[in-house]
Amino acid sequence: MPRPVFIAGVGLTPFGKFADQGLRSLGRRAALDALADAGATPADIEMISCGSARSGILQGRESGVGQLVGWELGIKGVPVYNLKAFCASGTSALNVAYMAIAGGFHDIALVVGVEKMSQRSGKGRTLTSDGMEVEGDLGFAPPAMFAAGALQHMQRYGTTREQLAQVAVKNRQAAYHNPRAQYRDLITVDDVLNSRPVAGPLNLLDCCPTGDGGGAAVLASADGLRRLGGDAKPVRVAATIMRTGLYEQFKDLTSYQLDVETAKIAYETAGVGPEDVDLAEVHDAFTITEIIHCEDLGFCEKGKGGPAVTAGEFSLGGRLPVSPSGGLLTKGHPLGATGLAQVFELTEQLRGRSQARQVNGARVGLAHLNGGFQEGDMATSAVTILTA
Amino acid sequence: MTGLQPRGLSVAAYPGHNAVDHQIIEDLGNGPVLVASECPRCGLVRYPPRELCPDDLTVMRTIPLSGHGILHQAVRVDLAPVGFVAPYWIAHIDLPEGVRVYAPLSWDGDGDPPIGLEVTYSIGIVRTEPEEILGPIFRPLGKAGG
Repeated sequence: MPRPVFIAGVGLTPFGKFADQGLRSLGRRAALDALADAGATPADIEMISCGSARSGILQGRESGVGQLVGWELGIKGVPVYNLKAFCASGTSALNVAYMAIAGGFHDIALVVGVEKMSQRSGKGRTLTSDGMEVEGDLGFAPPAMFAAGALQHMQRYGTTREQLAQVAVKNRQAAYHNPRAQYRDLITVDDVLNSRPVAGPLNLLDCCPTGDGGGAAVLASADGLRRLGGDAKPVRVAATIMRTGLYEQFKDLTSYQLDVETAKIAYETAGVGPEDVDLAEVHDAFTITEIIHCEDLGFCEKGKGGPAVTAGEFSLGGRLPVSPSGGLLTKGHPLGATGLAQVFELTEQLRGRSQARQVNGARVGLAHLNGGFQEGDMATSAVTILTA
Repeated sequence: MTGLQPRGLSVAAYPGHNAVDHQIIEDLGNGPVLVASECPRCGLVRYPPRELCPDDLTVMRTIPLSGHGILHQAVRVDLAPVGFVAPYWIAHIDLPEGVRVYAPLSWDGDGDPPIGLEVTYSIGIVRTEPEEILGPIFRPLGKAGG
């Protein structure tokens, strides 16, 4: 039987475009905050697990980002695992640390996720994803891929352009209360509809912005928790499930079967169902993807995601707040950091420390990310369930 | 037709990948055509081409794709990645060999191209930077291609 694993502390930098920040400083800041939150010192850390997806192509730091952050903190002589799983790189790092602790190999682990996306050529142009080399050379960047899904969702289920826009409006309303979010000004449906066209029905405000950031968490076994001096309530990692793609040749553009199956395993592992989830952070890289993910995760009936958003069901104060941090649409999507940002939000919510955006009585939080593409299909699905 | 060789997609732009990984066009004797892989054992057809059948690990063989397809979905792109000029159309197209390909769609009709539209393709320059790349460009069936 796996040992219970807990999140003892979390840290998260603000997300934004920081010309004066790099992988070292972003990772260091998040990790220091997580250590302080857990009541841990660098000497307590028995292993480091680090997620960063594009550090090689963007910063020329292909390997050893985890070692770099550990070196910054004076953590010496411990195993370090560097994980690259596209957008799910940070979640992948969490998954590995979980296994190491659940398996009894370590008692206290530092998980870090960091990315600096604002440093790249072709600013203002869409950034293609690893695994999309063929698609990219033919003109299919990620916005176009998901725009195709948006069109099909609209045609099949009657989802409206305004419902898509309402996702962006909703997430800005949450970000208004989140000092770490990059874009916090309130926007309207008209603002979204009148923003610059990108692909198909998706405009600029339907797409997550470029962003830099770092996130971290200290994971511990029950024995590890007793050695730490943190005051904050630990949160249980009830499930962390990662799976590779199904690579369907004729995939449904309005649903990701990989996510449906991964979520099912996560729910079974955690012993909960979608009806038990009090809040969720999902891969809202685009407005349409939040709707599709909510449907695939079982938060509403298939095809009903658009009306559910408009009805406020996924808003703060609604029956199941989704993206209460503001999501990727307002924070940005520094790939390696995004998974840890989701864990930060869930952990703080489950501890009751999220102030103006607190989901009252939250006991179960779910985080979801996809990662990359292969053969035109998702390459990774990651579903994490945390419980108070 | 240009003087470029039908090498399919860029290799130089993606260090670490080899030509086979991205070879969606080959000259099988009658000029460059879009290709897929077929398993000689179980008959599975996959696109883009791959070396081994994912179901039984048999070495797959290269087959030409007819290119006479049905439009599954099309998207107009207004913010172009490097090497493309917006606006342009890209599309998911179902081919009778049992694969769905994604490719540029030449479309100058009124409104959006209708789902179910019959299309065919010719080989042309699909991307201009960081180097010129040849690929399939689909168009409505019956319309002359370049």
